Amino acid sequence: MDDIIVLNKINKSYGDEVVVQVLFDIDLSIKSGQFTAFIGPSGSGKSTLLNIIGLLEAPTSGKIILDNQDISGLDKNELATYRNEKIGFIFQFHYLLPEFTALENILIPYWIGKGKPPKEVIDQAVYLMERIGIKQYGGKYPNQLSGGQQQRVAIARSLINRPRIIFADEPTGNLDSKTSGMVMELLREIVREDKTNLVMVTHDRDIAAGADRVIEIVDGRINCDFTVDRMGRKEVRRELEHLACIFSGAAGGQ
Amino acid sequence: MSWQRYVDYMDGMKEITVAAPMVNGNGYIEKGRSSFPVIIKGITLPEADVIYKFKNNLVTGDLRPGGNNVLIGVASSEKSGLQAGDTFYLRNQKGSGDYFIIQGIFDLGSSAANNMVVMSLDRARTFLDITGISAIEIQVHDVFAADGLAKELRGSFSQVKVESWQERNKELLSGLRAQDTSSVMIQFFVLLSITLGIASVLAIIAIQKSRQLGILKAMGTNDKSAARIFIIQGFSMGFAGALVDILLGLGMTELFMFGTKSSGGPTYELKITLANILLPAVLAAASATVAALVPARRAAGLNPMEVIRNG
Ligand SMILES: Nc1ncnc2c1ncn2[C@@H]1O[C@H](COP(=O)(O)OP(=O)(O)OP(=O)(O)O)[C@@H](O)[C@H]1O
Ligand SMILES: [Mg+2]
Repeated sequence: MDDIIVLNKINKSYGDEVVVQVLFDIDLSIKSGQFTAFIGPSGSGKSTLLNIIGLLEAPTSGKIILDNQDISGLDKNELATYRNEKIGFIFQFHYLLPEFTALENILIPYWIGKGKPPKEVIDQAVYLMERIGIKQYGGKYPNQLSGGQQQRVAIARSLINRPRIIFADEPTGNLDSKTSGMVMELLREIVREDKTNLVMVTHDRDIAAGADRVIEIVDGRINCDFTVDRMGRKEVRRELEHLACIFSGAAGGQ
Repeated sequence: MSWQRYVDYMDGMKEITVAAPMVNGNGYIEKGRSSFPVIIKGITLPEADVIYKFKNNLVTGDLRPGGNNVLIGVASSEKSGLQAGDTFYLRNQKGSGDYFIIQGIFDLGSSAANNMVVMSLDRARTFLDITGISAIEIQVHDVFAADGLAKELRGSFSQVKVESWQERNKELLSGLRAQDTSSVMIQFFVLLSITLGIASVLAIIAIQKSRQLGILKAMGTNDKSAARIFIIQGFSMGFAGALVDILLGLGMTELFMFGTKSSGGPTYELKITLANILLPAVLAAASATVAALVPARRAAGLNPMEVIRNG
C-alpha cells in the first residue's frame, strides 16, 4: 500500500433547490512520492476536487483515504488538525495576514499547531525564503510586497510544517516565468528529498509536462490520465500538445 | 409632667437603646465684623454621645462640655477660623450673648451636623432662655421598628409630638427610592448599550477579518480557537474600558468634591469602597465578553471555503 491518496466514488453537488453536480464518481489512486498535475478546462471541477482531497470541503458522497487513513470518520476539529500537520496549501490567491511580516506569515501554520516556533523552524523559514528569492523581504509587511513576492511568501508558508501532501491551485499563475521556475524547482526538490507529495492544478503546459502524472478533468470526470512511469516523458509531452486548445482556452478564462 | 419623667419612661422600654433630652436653637458666632450662623445644641452625656458619637469623631480636644466650655463642628471652625482653645462670642436670636471656650472640634461627616455648637443641656437652656427642653431624641434597636414605636408612644402621650425617622424624612425617603430605581434603570441601559456597542464593533471586525479567519481555518485553526480570538478581544476591550471608566469616575468624584467645596462640601459622606469600583469593572468586562459571543459564534461557524472560493 504505497498510495498516498485513494478516492472512491467521489461525487460533489452544489445547491439545495437547483442541484448542480460538479464531480461524478471520481475514482483515483495516487502513488506516494509523486508530483501530480490536474489540468482541464475552466469550470471542469479541478479546484473542487483539490479542495475535497485537501479536506477543505466535504464530498457529497464517496470515500477519501489519505496516507492509509480513512478520513471519513474525522470531525471538524480533527480535520483542522490533520490539515495543519499533514497538508500544505498554496492557493491561487495568497491570503497573507496583513498585520504580520512575511517571516511571521510563513511561521503561522507552526504557531497554529504548536505555538512559538523554535530556532530550527525559523531557520527553515529563512531557508525556504532564500530558495525562492525572497530572503530579503522577511521583515516586510504584505502590502510592501509585489503580488509575486506575496505569492512566494504563501508558498513558503505552505511548506513550513513539512506537510505530507502539498496542494497547489495554480500557484504560479501570478508569477513571471523566471520566478515560476524557481518555485517549481523548490517544489520538485521538496517532493524528491522530503518524500513529499505534490498535487497541483495548473494551466501551464510546461509545468504539467514536468509532472510525474497528468490527469485531465473534463466536466467533472477524469478524461485522460498520463503517467510518465508508463509512457515516458516524451510521450506525455506529445499527448499534452494535443490538449493545446484546452490550455489556451482555460488560460484565457482564468 | 416634667421631661425627666418622659425620659425615665422611655429608658424603661426594651425597644429603646437610649433616650437623650436635647435643647435646640439657633445662634451666631460673632468674630470681628462677621457673624456666622450656627445651630446650638444642648445635650446630656453620655446619652447624646450614644446617638451622635462625638467622642469617636473628635478632630481635636476632648469631650467635656460644661459651663461655658463647648464643642463645635469642623464646618463652623473652618468658616470662622476658630481653633480649639479659642474663646468666642456667641449670640442668641434674641440679641443677647456670652463668651464661650472651644474645648473640642468634631467632624460628624455631614455639613448640617458640622455646623453645630454643642454645650451642656443646662447651659443651653439658660442661654436660649428655654424652660423645658426642645426634644427627646431616641435611638431604637431595630431601625425599622421606629414607625411602630412612634405609634405606640403617640397612644401613651397625647401632649407631645412623636415622629419616627421615616415620618420626618418622608420626602427624602421617597426621593431616595425614586433615585434608586432610576439609577438602576440608567445603569441597566448603559450596560445594555455598551454591550450592544461592543458586540457591533466585534461583529464588524469579524466580518472585516473573515478573509484572514478563513485562511487561518484552512491552515488548521479549529473552531474553538477562532471563537476564542473574539472572546479574548471582547474581554480585553471590556477590561480596558473598565479601567478607563474607573479613572474617569474617580476623577469626576474628585471634581464634584472640589466643585461643592465652596458650599461646605456635600451634605453627606461620599464613601468609595473597593466594591464600588470592582463590581462595575467586573460587570463591564463580563458584558463585553458576552458581547463577543455573537462574533465568536460567527467565527466558529465560518467555512474557509467561502473565503477561498471568493478571493
Ligand atoms: N459553492 C458553489 N456553489 C455552486 N456552484 C459552485 C460552487 N463552487 C463551484 N461551483 C461550480 O462548480 C464548477 C467547478 O468549479 P471549479 O472551481 O472546481 O472549476 P475549476 O476547474 O477549478 O475552474 P478554473 O480552471 O476556472 O479554476 C463550476 O461550474 C462552478 O461554477
Ligand atoms: Mg479553479
